[in-house]
Amino acid sequence: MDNKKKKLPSNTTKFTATWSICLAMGIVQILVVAWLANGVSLIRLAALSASLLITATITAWVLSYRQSSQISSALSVAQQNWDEALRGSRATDGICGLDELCLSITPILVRQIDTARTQTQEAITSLAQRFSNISERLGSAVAASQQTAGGLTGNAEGSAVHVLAVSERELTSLIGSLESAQGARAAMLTEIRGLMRYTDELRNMIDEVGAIANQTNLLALNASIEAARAGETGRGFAVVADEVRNLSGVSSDTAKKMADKIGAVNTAISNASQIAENTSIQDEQSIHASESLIRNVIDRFERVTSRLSEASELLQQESSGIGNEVGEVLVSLQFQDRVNQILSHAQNSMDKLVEHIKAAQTKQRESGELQRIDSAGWMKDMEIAYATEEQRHNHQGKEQVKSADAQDITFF
Amino acid sequence: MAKTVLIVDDSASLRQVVNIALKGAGYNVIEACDGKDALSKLNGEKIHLIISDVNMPNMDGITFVKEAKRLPNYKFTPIIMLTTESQEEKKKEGQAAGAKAWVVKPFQPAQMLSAVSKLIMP
Repeated sequence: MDNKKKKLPSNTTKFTATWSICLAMGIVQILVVAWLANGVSLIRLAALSASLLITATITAWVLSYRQSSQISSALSVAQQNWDEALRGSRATDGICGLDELCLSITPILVRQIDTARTQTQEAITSLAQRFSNISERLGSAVAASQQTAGGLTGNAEGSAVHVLAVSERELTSLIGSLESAQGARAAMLTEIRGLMRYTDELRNMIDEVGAIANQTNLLALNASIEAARAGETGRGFAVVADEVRNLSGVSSDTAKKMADKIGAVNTAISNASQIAENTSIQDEQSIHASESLIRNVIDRFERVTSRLSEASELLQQESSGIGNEVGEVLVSLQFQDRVNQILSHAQNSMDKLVEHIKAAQTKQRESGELQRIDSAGWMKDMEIAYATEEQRHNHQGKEQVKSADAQDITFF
Repeated sequence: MAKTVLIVDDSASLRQVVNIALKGAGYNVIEACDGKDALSKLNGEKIHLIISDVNMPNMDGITFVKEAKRLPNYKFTPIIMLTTESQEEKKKEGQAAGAKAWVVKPFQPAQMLSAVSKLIMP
């Protein structure tokens, strides 16, 4: 439209050109009429006709040019009026209703973001709570496992290894007691066998006593014979000889009785010895059986504790692995905080935009002037409020980067 | 006697995460959801360490640290800033306010524990 306007001459220029042409044509007509006054001829009439025709043509052209100029001016005025009307419409209704659209859509978007944010936050908080419980229970399980493992593998009093060692020692000492009891019985047997030797000696001594009694009896008999031969004087001696014979008889009887008793004692000793010998063999077998039984029990106990110890060690390794996994989960759960920061910022920016549009609308209605938004200022304000590197990255239109990993701690 | 740590963050899930990490190591943990709430917890009770976020509603972390440093009972309580912010200017602000360390989220629990035990004996 501006280009077309430039091609059209201005009103003053158009006015001057039209009147210059009319003046020129009038002068030409006067000159032609003056020339005709000197005498009428065919050539002069032809010249007059031509002059009138040219003048009429030029007048018609001038009139048509003026009309076209007027139309063009009217169009230009109409364009200007249209432009002004359009501008006026912007001033009152906004840029094709974009501001109204923003005012309708943005609060909805803010509410959508808020819902998403709240739901994520609730879910993550619940997840974190569950992890907290899992972590606590795992901690107790690990502690219990470590205690058990420590109890099994450690050397402290009450540990399985300690109990095993004490049990082995006590059971071995029991076998020692059994062995010493068996030794005492063997010594007793030897003593009993020694007693049998004494009874043999006693038997010999009884035989000797029997022989002495026989000898004494023979001596008493000889004394009695000699006393009888001595007659009256030997009567007293005969009494003594009888008494001696009686004594030898008693001695002989006693010796016989002793021999009987010794036989009985010998038999009793022999029986006792036999019984003791049998018992000793049984004891020895029992001790061997006990030894092997204790060894088996200890071996089995060792195998069980060793398996328990291995299981406990495995449990400890697994718990440590799970502990590391829980640590990683705790790192991952922190994404929600970063997401929350980003969404909150977006929400705040939208809220601010709505407030700004409302304020601009009010101002426009009051002043009737088009309000311009300071985009650069907006962008700067947005950038200042960022809390994460991802936001700055997005703001600068850079390619999206993966979420941040754990970083080193800065100590001041 | 377990040492007490105050965790200040508007995100409940993050408070949980710190809680899990510290409780597992035998610390006693108390929570606050922003700077104002945290100041109300500094009521004379012995707190050995404070871990605070930076961007929070009501009162931001930097203001909270400045306020806490004014309280006679908590003047020397070490403070760790725990935030998504990693810009040097922000770290300098934290340092100027009186923070002892700056941890960027997400943090590794082991790393946090080592920082905590560096500032206070467990």
